[in-house]
Order: sequence, then structure tokens, then C-alpha cells
Amino acid sequence: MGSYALEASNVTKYFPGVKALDKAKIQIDKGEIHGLIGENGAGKSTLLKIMNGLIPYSAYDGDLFVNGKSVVLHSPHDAQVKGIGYVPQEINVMNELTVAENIFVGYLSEAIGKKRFVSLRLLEKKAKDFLDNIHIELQPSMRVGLLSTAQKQMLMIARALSQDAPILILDEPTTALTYEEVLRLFTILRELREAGKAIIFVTHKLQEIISLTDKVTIFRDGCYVSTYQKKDYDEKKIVADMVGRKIENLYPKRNVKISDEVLRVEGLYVEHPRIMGKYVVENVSFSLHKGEVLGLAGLVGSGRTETLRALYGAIKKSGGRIFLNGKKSRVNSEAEALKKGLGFLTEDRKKDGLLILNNIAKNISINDLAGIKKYGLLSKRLEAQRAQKPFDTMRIKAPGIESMVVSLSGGNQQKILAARALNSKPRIMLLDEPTKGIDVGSKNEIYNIINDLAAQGIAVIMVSSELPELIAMCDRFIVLADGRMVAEIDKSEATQESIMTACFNG
Amino acid sequence: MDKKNEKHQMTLGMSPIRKLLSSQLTTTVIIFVAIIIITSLGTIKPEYGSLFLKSKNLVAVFRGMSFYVIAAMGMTLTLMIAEIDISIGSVAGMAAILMTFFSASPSNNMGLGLPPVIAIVLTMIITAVVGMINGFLVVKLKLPPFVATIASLYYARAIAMIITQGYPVYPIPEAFVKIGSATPLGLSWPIIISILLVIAFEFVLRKTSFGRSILATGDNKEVAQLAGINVTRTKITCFIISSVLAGISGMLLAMQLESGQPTIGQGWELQAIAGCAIGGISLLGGAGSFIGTFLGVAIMNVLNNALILFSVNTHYQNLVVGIVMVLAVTFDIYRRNRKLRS
Repeated sequence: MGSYALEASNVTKYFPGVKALDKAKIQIDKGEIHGLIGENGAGKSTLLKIMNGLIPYSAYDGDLFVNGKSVVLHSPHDAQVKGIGYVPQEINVMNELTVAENIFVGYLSEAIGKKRFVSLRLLEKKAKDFLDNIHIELQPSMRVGLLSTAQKQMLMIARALSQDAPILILDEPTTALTYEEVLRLFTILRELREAGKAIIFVTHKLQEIISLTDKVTIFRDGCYVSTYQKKDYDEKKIVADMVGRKIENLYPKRNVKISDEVLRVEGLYVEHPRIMGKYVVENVSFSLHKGEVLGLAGLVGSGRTETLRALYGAIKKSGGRIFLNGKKSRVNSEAEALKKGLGFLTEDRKKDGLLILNNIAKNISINDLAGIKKYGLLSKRLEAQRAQKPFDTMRIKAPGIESMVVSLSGGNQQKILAARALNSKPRIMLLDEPTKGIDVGSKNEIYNIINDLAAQGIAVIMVSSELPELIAMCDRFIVLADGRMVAEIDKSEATQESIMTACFNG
Repeated sequence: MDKKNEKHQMTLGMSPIRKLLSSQLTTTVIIFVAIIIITSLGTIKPEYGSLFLKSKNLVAVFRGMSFYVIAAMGMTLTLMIAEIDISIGSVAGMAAILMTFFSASPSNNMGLGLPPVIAIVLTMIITAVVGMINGFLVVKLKLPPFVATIASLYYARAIAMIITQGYPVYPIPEAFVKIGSATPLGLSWPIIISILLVIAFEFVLRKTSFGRSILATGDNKEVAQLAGINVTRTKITCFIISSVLAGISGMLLAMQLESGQPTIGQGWELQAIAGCAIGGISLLGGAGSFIGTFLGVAIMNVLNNALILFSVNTHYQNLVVGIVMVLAVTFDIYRRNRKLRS
């Protein structure tokens, strides 16, 4: 065995009825950022859990080596002791404590060399030195609840590194971050690489692999598929290895005639939920046409989501007029929006997307219960019919429409939510980050669904933080910054640069 | 091909036992049947046969539990929307007093002498107002449901006590006494009404959009709201129905007792929560059934009856109830986790 900083070989793991990993392997060198990519269900998370000790040694077959020496991990604590730092996908911090306490939690007194008592002052000083050292800008005395999502993410990285771990595992760290924050994260990771750390970076996003990592390992269906060096990177090859088939066109073309105006928004205002006199959406005006896909670009917090939600009646508008098909209309509640032909797809499946105690059919039918009624009563048969159609056409991967939604992959959950939004036969579809946290194959399918919508003459407004996807999918772009509309860009002039420039200079 | 494979794996992973365990009501039914069998066999006396199965005993058990069933249905509704209504016992007591007070003849110490039907309607309106206040405090003013309905628990009981000064209202109109002592089909009106209510509510829950709105709201109210369901109205309606059901239960009990006892309903809230828990109603909302509540309350009452028939010391009875409840809910949670993982 060569002496890799971390190596897993021949790892096989069974879950009841499923083989999650099948002789999987990965090898990471010191001073390397190693990408691990694969679709949902490819076994990435399972492997991470094994390397982090969450799945203990006895529960799987295979070997782990740190610096060429075989190691046995019984718990996450074991992994930490052996120098493996882990940053989980979900934000996992103690909001009521300070940054310093969060970093050294678990060994507060040891961190400052005292036995019984913890001195906050010493702890903060230690935290400051440490943070300066790894170039993460956080105020040690700050209460963590006040930090932004990105700052919390940085905090979790700092915590993982706090015991001087030479190996760092990051599980999809960019899902909650904005473009700008991702760039900062990358800078920090590159510095850590220079410092000789071995970093595993798990992601769905091809772009991140291309721009950040030195090597990439691809998993599919629990199996190791391939590893490429940076010089051999080939987008097509990586995607093909991930999905097991070639995706000819990640962004499918569409040829739809854009016709009449269906929606016009004039001077939309939405008040800030907590700060008096401040607006999260300020004087936003635009129009939308039949068959058109309008891109709403901007950083997280620029008012994109609020604009969609205000249109849908989910949050209160404090000013502005809305014209549907040229007629001035009110949309003051979700029920009214549905009735007037608006559909909405949430960006947060867990928070306000899925009914986790219900099966697929009930999840789809919930926004149009009137549509599954017979003689005034809910009909199970009609409900099944309504659900079966999108289940088949969207190729939702599940045993059947009676399956519960929790066990499905993100991509399939997203398709269910799309099916729900379409259930009420909307003429205007509001999509908030429709491909967030789903794999490339599913993304491609969602893009096809969007094209289908446009082809049916449905007008679409799409919000996305992934600029390449937004640029490829939309006909026209509106850029928001700080709640204000700062630019309207035509497809012909839209590039990542032109949109980002508008975001920052607006 | 892919889909077929997955399906195959799913069925492979489900042993017959696990399949049985994955139905929503199974835990409750298993415990119910077990307790019925144990009690039936355990109380066999050579000369009488099974004491438990004697029709007189069964009717008595049934008659006693019917009030709890009706009140617990309100608890079920509020638990289903991920709230809770602690006030049901006091509201039952208040309703018993109001109905008897409105209708009792003024020639005795207390009473307004209103016609019985008017007394019932007025009482139902007042209980509905209590429910509306509960709903308003919880949904609009965002008070924790525990706090808001404990407040109602206090003031509803206070109303009963203030009206009666702690004395029972007696005598009550003949019509009420007749209903209270009637034996339709060899049973009693409360028994029949409780069964009809369980069936009706189960039907509403499964077959109407209101029922679906309740379950969706309890599962995730943000989702329900985005799906166009009026979550505020759904929740307030559930609180109103809960109070009205408690009121009906209290009124029926007053008719059976042939007097308005101001202490009616004391401790019912805990009995109802226990019945719901044993009946598989998730205290986190979004899941459960009224049949489950019925069985849950039945289990508690059969258990009590069995302990009496076994001549177990009264002080031990609560001990057994506590243990059965922990076992039932533990088993249920274990089963649910298995289901979510499969």
C-alpha cells in the first residue's frame, strides 16, 4: 500500500434489502482536494459515514487506512482522534452559544489547558488565534444564532479542523451558500490544501468539481466507477460515468413561440418581516408572456424568493399592482393564487414542500382536493388516477404511488412537488430553485419538464442560484439586488459575467 | 426493469410480520384483542362462565366509556392538527351545569326553566364559543396550545362552580332523565351516539377535503398553507368541534346522573390523552384515526373493569394503566420507526 492520507478499499455495506456500497474504494493524498461525485443513492453518504465512524467498524466489510496504517473506527469520536474532521451536510451548530464555544465544544476546558473551569476570555483568544490561522473571518464572541448560513458553514469547518485534523471531509458544503460565499469557501479550502490537508469534497455540482478539485472519484449505484486527474477532466465523461448513460444535452433546447402577456407586475413592494420601514422587495416591475421562461437572478437574500411568494399570495404585498391576462387582479392568499392559475414550487422541500406522513398520491393531490371528488367526497380511485399520470410521465422512481415520500431521493421528491404544482393546472408557474440538491440526471429531467410547460403555453418564472442552468433555461432575465430590480437582460446578452456584474453593481 | 427490481426488493424486505405491523391501527388492535381475550378467559368462574363477557357487565363498561370516547374525539382532532386541548374535561363539566341550570325549574334553588331543547342548543353555542376562544388564542395570538387551553380549563370549571356554588343542580327535567335512563337496543343513548360519532368523524376524516386538510395541516402546516388550505380556519374549526364534543359528553353524563354535577369531567383530559396515545394518535400531529381513539379508550376501560373483576386493589389499578400505556406507545413508536426506515 502506498501511503495515502486516507484510503478506503473494498468497502461493502448492506442496508436491509439494499446493497448501499459494493467493493467501493477511494484514495486521497495529502495536499489534495479530492472530489467525490455521484447521483443520489450512489453511496457517497454511506462511504462518508463509514470514514467518519458513524457506521462503526463491525457494520461493514472493507478496510480503512490513514497514512497507510489500517484503522478501526467505532464512533465519530474515534475518527476525530485519528485525525479525520467531518463537516456534515446539514448545518449543525448551537445557536445560543458563541463562536468560540461552538468551535471547541466537547473539550472546552482541554482547549485552554485548564482542568475544571472554562474561561470564556481565554477560549475566545484561543479561537481568535485559530481562526486567524486558518483565515476564517468570524468574531469569536459572537452568538452563533446571529450568523448567516454561510458563516455557520465556515464555523462547522473551523470546528472540524479545531483538533488539527489532517483530513477534512465536506459533505455537500455549498448547498446553502450563495455564489459569492462559495467562492470564499473555495479560497479557504485552497489555503488548507497548501497547508497539506487532505480534503474530500462531496458535491452534486460538476462545475465545482471542475473549478476546485485536483482529482475526482465517481460513484454509481454503490460502486466505484472511475477516478480522474485534473488534467483528464472531461465534463461529458464525468457525467456519463455518474449516470451510467450519456446525457447528450444537459440543458435541452426548446423551440416555443412566446406570445401574449399573461402577467404584468407593477411596482411590487414587500415589507421586511421584522424591520419597520425596510423592504425586501422594492418597486419590482416586469411582465411575463405565454410560453416564456423568465429567469429571476440575484444573490440569496436579494428578494427573489420573496417576489415569487408575494406573487403567489404566500406573503403580504405592501404595494404594487398585478395584472393577469391584462386584467387587474388580487392575489391575497395561496388559495386565491391557485384558483387564478398560479402554481408554486418551493425551494425547501423539507420545510414547506413534502407531507412526510403521506404517500405520493396524497402529496400530489393536496393542492386540488376538489379535483379528486366524486359526489362531493374524496375518491381514492380518482386520486390514484391523478397521481399515476405524472408518476409515469415524470418517471418517478418509487415502488408505486402508495409509497411514502420520505424514503425517496431528492430528485424524485422534487418531481412529486412539480407534479403537485401542475395538478391544479396552472397557467403561470413559479419555480424557486427547482433543481436544488438533486443529481444531474434528475436535473436534466426537471429541465425537460420546464420545457414541456413552456411548450404547453405555461408562463414560467424561475429562480436559481446556479447561473449556468439559469442562463441555459431562460428566455429573459431580471436581476435583483437588495430587493430592487437592477437589470433586465436579454438572452443574447446574458453571460455569467453580465449577470454577476449586475448583481454586484446594482 | 428498474422499477420492477425495486418493487421486488421492497416486498422481499417486508416479512409478513412487518407487513402486519405497518398498518396504522395494528398496534391498538393487537392490544385490544389481547386484553379482551385475557380478561374474558381470566374472569371465568365455574358456575357463571366469564364474568367479563356477561352482557350486563359489557353494557356497563360500554356505558361508562362512551362519555370518554366522545370527549377523547375532540382531543384526537386537536392532536391531529399538532395542537392539544386540555380544557375538554372542564368544558364537559361546564356544559353539564349550563344545560341543567338553563332547564331546571326556577321553583327550586337554581334554574331558568327554559325548554330542554333550548337549553341544549344554548349550551352547545357556549361550548362552541369556548372552542373559538381556544382556537383564536392558539392560532391567531400564537399562544402555546397547552397554556391557552389550561386557561380555559380553569375558567370553564370556574363558570360551573360559580353558577352552582359547588352544589349539584337537581332535579332536572323529566325529558333528560328519560334520555339518561333509556335502553335503546339494550344499550344506552350515549353508547349509540358515541358509536355514530366515531363512524361519522372517521368518514369525514377519510372522505372529505376537510378531513384531508386536518391531516395535511398536522403533517406540515406550511405545506398545507401553500397548497391553498386555509390552515387558520381548519385549526380553529377543530378547536370548536373539540369543545362541542366535550360539551355533548358532559350533557349526556348529566342526563344519566339525573343531575348537574359541577365536578363532571375532572381529569378527563389526561384520560383522553392516554386513550389517544394508546389508540395510535401521533402527539406530533398528522396521523391517527377516530377508530384508534375508540379502541384506545376501550382498552383503558376494559383494563379497569378487568382489574375490578380480578379484585385487584384499587391503588394498583393506576399502576397497571400506566404500564400498559408506556408499553403501547413504545411499541407504536418502534413500529413507526421501522416503517419509516423501510
